[in-house]
Amino acid sequence: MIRVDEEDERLLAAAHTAVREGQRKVRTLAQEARFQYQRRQAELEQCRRSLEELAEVLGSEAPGGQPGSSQVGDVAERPAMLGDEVLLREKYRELSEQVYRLQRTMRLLGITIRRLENESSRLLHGKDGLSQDGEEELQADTHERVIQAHEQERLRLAREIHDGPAQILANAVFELEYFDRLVEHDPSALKEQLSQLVTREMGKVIAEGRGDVQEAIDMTFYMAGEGRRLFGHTVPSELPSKFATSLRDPVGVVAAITPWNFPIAIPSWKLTAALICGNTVVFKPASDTPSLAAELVKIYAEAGLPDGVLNLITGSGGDVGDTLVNHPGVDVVSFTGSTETGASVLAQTAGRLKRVSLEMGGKNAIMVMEDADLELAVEGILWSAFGTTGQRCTAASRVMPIGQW
Amino acid sequence: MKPLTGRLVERANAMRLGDGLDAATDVGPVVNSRQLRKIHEYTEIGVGEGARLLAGGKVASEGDLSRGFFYPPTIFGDVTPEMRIAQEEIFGPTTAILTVDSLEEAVRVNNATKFGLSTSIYTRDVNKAFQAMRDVTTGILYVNAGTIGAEVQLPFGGTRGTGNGHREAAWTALDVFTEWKSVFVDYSGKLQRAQIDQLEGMG
Repeated sequence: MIRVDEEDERLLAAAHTAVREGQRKVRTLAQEARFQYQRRQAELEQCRRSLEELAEVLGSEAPGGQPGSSQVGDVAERPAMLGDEVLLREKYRELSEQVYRLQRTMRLLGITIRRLENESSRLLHGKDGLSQDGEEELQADTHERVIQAHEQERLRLAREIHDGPAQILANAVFELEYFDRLVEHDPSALKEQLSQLVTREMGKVIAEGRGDVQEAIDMTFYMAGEGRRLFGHTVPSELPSKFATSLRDPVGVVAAITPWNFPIAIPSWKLTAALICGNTVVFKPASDTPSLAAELVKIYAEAGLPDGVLNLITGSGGDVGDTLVNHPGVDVVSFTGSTETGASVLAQTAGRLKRVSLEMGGKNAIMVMEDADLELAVEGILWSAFGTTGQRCTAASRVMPIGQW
Repeated sequence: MKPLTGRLVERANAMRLGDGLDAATDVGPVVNSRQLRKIHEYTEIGVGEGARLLAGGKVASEGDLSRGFFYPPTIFGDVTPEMRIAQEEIFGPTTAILTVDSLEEAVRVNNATKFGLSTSIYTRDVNKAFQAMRDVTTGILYVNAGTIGAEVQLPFGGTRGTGNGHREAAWTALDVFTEWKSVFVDYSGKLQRAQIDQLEGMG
């Protein structure tokens, strides 16, 4: 009897896992298709704009009618046409064909998306936890953030934005630091409000809450300066009259996933570095500390960061984090958190060869030699072991006294 | 109790738990009930492994503390390197005192966990400080300071299971968020082959 029950349970568990995996796969594919659709849509709009501009330049001479290859003959049959105009007409023809191809691709993608969505809702029927609507909504939100980040990335590549992120970060520092330094711990100052929010949201004592905010200021200040350097290396060539140098290029769209123990400091590490390098960001803070994340994003927005460069999405790792990490539009994942989750992020992104930076746990030790200053060591151990109630990745959880100590 | 252990226990027992907004509070709450449970589970694991509980060790429930997620500073003595409380990350106010006989043994024990983030050495002997700098295999080392207190202008991160080779902060953070592009500009006006392609007899 027992044996049969066990087998039933094993079978049910395996079936449940298979369904979950199927759901995930179908959702990822649907996401990918939607993402591709939107990219193609942006390309299509760009092509249409270029076509309109060309049509204006060509004036009444512009070939009309359906886009396609019917104009090829026109160009060849008019040898007397000016060279520039021949080139323009050639370009017009190419663009028309591109528009046609894009329209066809988008029709096919549209059909695929509808099929995948049908399949996804069939698989999702009757699942536990977050309601289907809730989960789908969160995923749609996440998708929306990545699209926004991508749109900004496209504009940057098209050289349509010239904002210097370093200057914007400097503005943010100025707002936080220099106005607020006038009166220390002024309860009306932004800096003190944020510090109190740190304590209220995750519990650390107020002196450390202020430290958390100060760290964010320091990192923003540092990275604002680093943004004016971004040094490459210029080296001698092995040949005469040849110049050899190297440049740092942005990678693209960064997903920043941050923990609750430094709810403003750690996000500032990731966001400032990603931004001054010219990337766009989708930021998912820990589900225990969303308010600070929202405040931080507001500060950067007020300092002048264009819409869509920094995008916030809140929710749990399971609902939002996995969607983000698996999203085909995300190029870099910068994660700080538990070793278990970090390993899962790496496994989930391996197939797409994404760049992943992980900062995880510690089992940090303090060694106390025979000749140490005992009281100095005691102070250091208490601060390292019990500061932030031991909730730091660098907390001292081992002490090794030697000899008489 | 030896002098260091005695001082730590005495000071830990005197730390005041409470609301983080109260300036008199030394130790605030832990973040949520799940973490509180996990921290206490590790206390039970430590006791079960034969470590000696010297301070703290149970969920704080006096007065208003029972309304939050409070856990007192907890210290274990007689801990051996292979115990789970000496190997696994607890992420709470729990520390383990291990007995070692020399710097060499301390470094060996220090390096023998699946993590590799931060280490500290207290000494007034410059030779020992440099020996630790050479032999410790964590990403961060402090001499005469605790394991916390990193500054933004130096790389932050660790070895082994702490990370995957990247560093946050400082100039090293830029490596995560950029791609290198190497650029060669030949302004000689003629074809110049790179050295490896200048085959003998081809000029």
